[in-house]
Order: sequence, then C-alpha cells, then structure tokens
Amino acid sequence: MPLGTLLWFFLSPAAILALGFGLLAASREQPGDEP
Amino acid sequence: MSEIAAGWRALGDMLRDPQALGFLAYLALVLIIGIATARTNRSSQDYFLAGRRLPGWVGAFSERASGESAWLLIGLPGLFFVDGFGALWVAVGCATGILFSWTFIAPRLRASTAADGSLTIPDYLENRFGNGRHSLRLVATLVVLFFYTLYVSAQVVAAGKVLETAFGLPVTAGMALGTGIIVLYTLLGGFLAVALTDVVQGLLMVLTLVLLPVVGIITLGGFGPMGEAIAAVDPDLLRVSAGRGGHALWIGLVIGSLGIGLGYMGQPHLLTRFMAVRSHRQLRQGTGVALIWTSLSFWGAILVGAVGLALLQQGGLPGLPAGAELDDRERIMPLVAQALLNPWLAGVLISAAIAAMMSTADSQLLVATSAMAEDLCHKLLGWDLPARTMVGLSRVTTLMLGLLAFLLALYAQEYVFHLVLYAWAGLGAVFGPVLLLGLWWRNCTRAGALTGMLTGLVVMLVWTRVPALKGMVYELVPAFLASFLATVLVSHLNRRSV
Repeated sequence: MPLGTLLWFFLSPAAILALGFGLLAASREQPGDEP
Repeated sequence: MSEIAAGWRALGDMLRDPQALGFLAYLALVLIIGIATARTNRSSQDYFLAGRRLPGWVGAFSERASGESAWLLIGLPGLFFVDGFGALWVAVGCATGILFSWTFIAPRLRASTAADGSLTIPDYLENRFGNGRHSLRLVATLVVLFFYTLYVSAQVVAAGKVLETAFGLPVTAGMALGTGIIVLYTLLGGFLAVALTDVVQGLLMVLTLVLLPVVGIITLGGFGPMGEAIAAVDPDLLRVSAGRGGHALWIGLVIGSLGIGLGYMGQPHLLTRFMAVRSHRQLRQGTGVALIWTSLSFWGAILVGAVGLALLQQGGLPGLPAGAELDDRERIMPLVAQALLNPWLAGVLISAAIAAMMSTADSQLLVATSAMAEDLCHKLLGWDLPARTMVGLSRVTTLMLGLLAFLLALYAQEYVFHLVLYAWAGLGAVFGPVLLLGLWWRNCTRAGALTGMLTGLVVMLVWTRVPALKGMVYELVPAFLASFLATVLVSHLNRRSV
C-alpha cells in the first residue's frame, strides 16, 4: 500500500472530525435555549 | 393469480430460512415501533416533527440513516472497483457536506422554525420571506411532491430487487412487502416511529460497515497483503488520483465528488430532522454523533470495496474463482458478508441494505405527505381542520402516496429511474442556496429566493441534457452556484429598487 494513500485514508476523516468538534467547541449556546 | 401464489410460497420459504428469519424479526420490530408510537400523534406537529421533542442522538441517527440509502452499503463499495481509493473524494465530499449542514444550517433552522412554528421547509420559506400570494410555498411544494414521489418509488423498486436477491422473493411481492411495512409504521407512528426505526436501521448500517472491513483486513493479513492483491488487478486503484491527471482528475473526480456534498443542505427529508430536535444543546450532541457515524460508515464502505476486490483476486469469494470478473460490482457487499461471516450473521448484515432503503423511503414518504397535507391542503387551499382531523388526513395522504409510489414502481419503472437521477441535485440546487442565504443573510429577499430556486432547477435540467457539460462535472455544482448567485444578485437589485 502506498504510504500517501494510507495517510490520506486515515487523516481525512480525522481532519473532518477535528474540524467538526472544533466548530462545536467554538459555537456558543443560543440565548433562550433550555438546558 | 400465479404471481400472488408465488409470493405466498416464497414467504412460506422465508419462514424456514434462518437468514430470512432475522430479517422478518427486524420487520416485526419496526412494526411494533409503529404501533407503540401511534398514540403520540395528536397534531400535525407530532406527526411531522415528533412534537419537536427528539433527543440529539436520535436526531443524528435519523438524519444519517435517512440521508444514506442503500447506495452507501452497495454503491460506494462497488465504486471502489472503478475509482479505487479515488473513491475517498466522494467520502470527503459527503462528510464535508454533512458537517456543513449540521453546523451552519441546523442550529439556525431549528431555532427559526421553532420560533415561528414552521412544520415544513416550504412553511419556513414562506414565514421567512413573507406570503407574496404563496409563490415560494407553491414552487417549493411542487418541487417536494414531484421529487419525493419519484424518490419513494425508486426505493420501492430497489426493495423488490434486494429482497429477490437476498431471499428469492418475487420482485412484485418484495415491492409490496417493502411498501406495505413502510407505509404501515409511518402511517401509525408518524415522525417518531420513523425516527426510532431510523435508530435501529442506522445502527445496523454502521455495524455492517465497521465489522466487514475489520474482519476482512484481518483475514487478508493486513493492509500490505490487501494492497498487493489490489495492485495485481490495477495499481492505479491504490492511488488517491485513481490514475487520472489534469482536467479529469481535478474537475471530474475531485470537484465532482466534493460537489455531491453540496446536496445535503437542500434535502427536506434531512432538514426536518434538525427541526425536530428538542434544543440547541441536544443539536450539538447530535452533531457529534452524526460526524462519528459518517466517519465510520463512509470510510468503512470504501474498505468493504477494497477487501472485496482483494478477496476476489485471491479466489476468496463464494462461487468465484481467483481473478474472476464480477458481472455486477454492486453485489460485492453481500458477497464479502457471505465469504467472511457465518450465514446467520451474514443474513443480518445483508438486511442492513434493506434497512438503509427503508430508513430513506419512510422519511421521504413523510416529507411528501407534509407537502400534500400541510402545505397544499392546509396552507394553500385553506382547509382549516381540527388537529386530530389533520392527523387523520395526513395518515390517509401517507397511504395514498405510498400506493402511488408502488404503482409508479410497478408500471413506470424506467420513467422513475430516469427522473430520480436528478432528485439529489434538483433538491440540493433548489433549496440549498436559498436556505443558506435565508438563514445567514438578512438582506435576502423573496424575489431573490424565488429566482434562485427556479435558476437552480433550470441549470440542473439544462446541464444534464447537454452531454458535453454532463461529462465535465456533476450538475449539482453549477446548479448550486447559479442558484446562489441568482439569489444574491436579485436580492441586491430588489433591495435597491425598494
């Protein structure tokens, strides 16, 4: 298996997860939102 | 009559087949969910949005299971035979679209629709942009009704084919069984039944797409031996570029694959999942669950294709000698399951493909119902009925639309398959840009939104009709961009002229 393909295979979902959870952490609670 | 008799005979055979028994138990479970949730439907808000009380994780499973049809379990592994690891671009495109949809569309759409009481996407558009003789609602309702009737019909056809392949059921009997079960639990339990069955279906899908590659790679001896077997077929399959270069790589493969993800923002059967989640906090929980589900399932599906091709090369698939050609590459997932697992477990995992189909069809059926009962009858025709009567009307509408989808599947299959190819791009281009701008840009106007929706539809139709354009890039990309630009431009001019 080419190393580049393996890296792309594992790093692409990791990058999307990191971006998603990063955006979640950065977003604030909305006013008026129930707990 | 002979067809009906054959159907009953095949059903009798299923009761004696341990693989099929697992599937029948699953059908019984979804019916029980429908019956158990029937009493929760007291108003249209209950029937179409589960009373906006959905926990985040249920919303996530429901959105994911509804968002991915059997294509994820059957089509994407099959795509590996053509594009190899180049299929990763599709996974990246879809995952980015899902991420964007959950983080940029979902929070504002949930908050807006909860505040103004919108039950459907046409409802939201009219509340956001104003009445204007119902122009937006009318266009949106017609688009939803047209594409979703076709969509449900295509799932009915697919159910017939998969049930025939898996359990030997005659196609018409399979279509009738699939439609009957979906219509029955959707009609009884409404959105809550659809969402809860989606949890079962979503779990089954992700389990299949994780278990098969893990067992497969262990069986093959790791990534190295798997890569060697794939390279023996075609070394380009191991490259992320799929051996392409220049225009074919960047426009055709990369932009085209990433472009599929644009569609998620404009699918009403997914957007209503966001509207049904209980709170913003629950939506954040749902986002996390949806992203993990997506990462496991999409990347797992590509590995199912890789494992399948390696096993095929080594002669490890049932009934196929080493290096054989596969007549239908979409058979690869069931073949891998049969090769690697005991028959009972393989039967359960093959059922995941049918579960994927049902979880998509039920959500689409409910969105078509909402367009007919809520948008057309209630809001456009002004039928002001008591809440309970509206639920009754919606149930009858679900039944009628289910029947229509079945009849279309039976008598107009080619027409359905021809048109349903445009559904993802059509809905994505009509609703995606307008929703994005409506939620994020205060100056977006009704005229801009209406022009954008129609422009998206027209560009999509023209692009698919011209072979030179169609061959260049997936039609959703230009249609989405054109719709976006038209909305911005007309809104801007409209503002200046006011």
